[in-house]
Amino acid sequence: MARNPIRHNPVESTPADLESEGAGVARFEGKRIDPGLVASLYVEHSGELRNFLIGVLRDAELAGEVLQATFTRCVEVGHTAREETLKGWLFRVAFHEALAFRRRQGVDTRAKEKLAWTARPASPGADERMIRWESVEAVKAALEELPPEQREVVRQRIYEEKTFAVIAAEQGLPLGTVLTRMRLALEKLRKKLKPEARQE
Amino acid sequence: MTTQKNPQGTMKPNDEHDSLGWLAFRYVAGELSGDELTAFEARLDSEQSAREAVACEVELAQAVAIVAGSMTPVAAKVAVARTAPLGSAPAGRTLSYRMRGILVMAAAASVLIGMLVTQGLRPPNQRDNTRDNTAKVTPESAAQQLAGYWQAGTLVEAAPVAAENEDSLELAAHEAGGESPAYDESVPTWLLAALEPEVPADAPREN
Repeated sequence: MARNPIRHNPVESTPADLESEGAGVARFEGKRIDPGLVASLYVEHSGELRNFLIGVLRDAELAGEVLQATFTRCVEVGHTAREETLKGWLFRVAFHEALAFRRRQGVDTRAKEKLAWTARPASPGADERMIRWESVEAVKAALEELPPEQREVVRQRIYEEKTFAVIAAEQGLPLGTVLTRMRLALEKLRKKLKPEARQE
Repeated sequence: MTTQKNPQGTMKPNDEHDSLGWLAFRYVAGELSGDELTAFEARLDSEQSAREAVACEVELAQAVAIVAGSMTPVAAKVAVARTAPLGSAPAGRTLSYRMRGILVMAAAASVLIGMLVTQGLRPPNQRDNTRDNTAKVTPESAAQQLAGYWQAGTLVEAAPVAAENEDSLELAAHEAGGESPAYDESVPTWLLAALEPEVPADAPREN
């Protein structure tokens, strides 16, 4: 049964609250998690976690804070999670932390109205950590292969930040057509971005 | 394969990954309605695949936002294709390309004409001194000489090279998508302008 994220307070949560779903046995019970493991988790998952948090919070600076809080929690109670589910555990903790931050800072409504991809960090240089250069290159190549009508919808939606309704109205197309073009384009772009993940 | 109905009412069979990806994209784009948003955030609480899909869509959208900034809108490309013939200069620069070509060729033609005419009109025994005279030709005097020779009808006889240059000019102008330069009895103003020390202020300049 899913726990209520609103009830969950990251500061007061018990290790049992943060265990992965169905994880009855805490492999590291009574111990502190290996700092080396935390470090490797950070190296391996922080980029993806940050993007996930930006998607939830629509704020790169907040996402950075929540990422830090998530790994603090990992150090504190990470030993209660099963090793094989640490990634999922991290993401769930991050999600709960994000919801708590969102409500605490009163940015819930504003966050929902913003676009995740326009989130910009306050400090220069953090931008590079969010976006992998190879992703940009892959997306660029994939965009050039798209049919012009699909590419144009992608450009207008993501770069010009027009809503689908506005794009449809301006192009004199049914909304469903615009959505289909965007959806087809995204499918192709995703495959280029993470081909190995999509082949699974 | 699953069949899902998206909020816009279009029904399509979808791969599970793509359906989740589409939902995640609409989440990060802020396009989910209230009920959809609540339902999707409930999935985020329990499904790792949904969380990873959100991370993937954010990365994808950020990369697209970077790349799309350098993309030319399709509408603009269509407009260029409609207005400019194949092989022509880009729209907005046609005039400056044409003008630059005309000025360069006119300057070259005038120098050749000046040299040939000067050589041709002098008696053979005086031609040894022409080096000094041609060295003193200024743009202003060249323009005056050219105007005089042009009106006297000696231009074609004295300088067949100039006729070839005129053809070249017409060809260049034609290739540039413009009209052929008008041929008149008087010296074309663009040719005189080319011989002036400075380009007139009203002449188009390249950006």
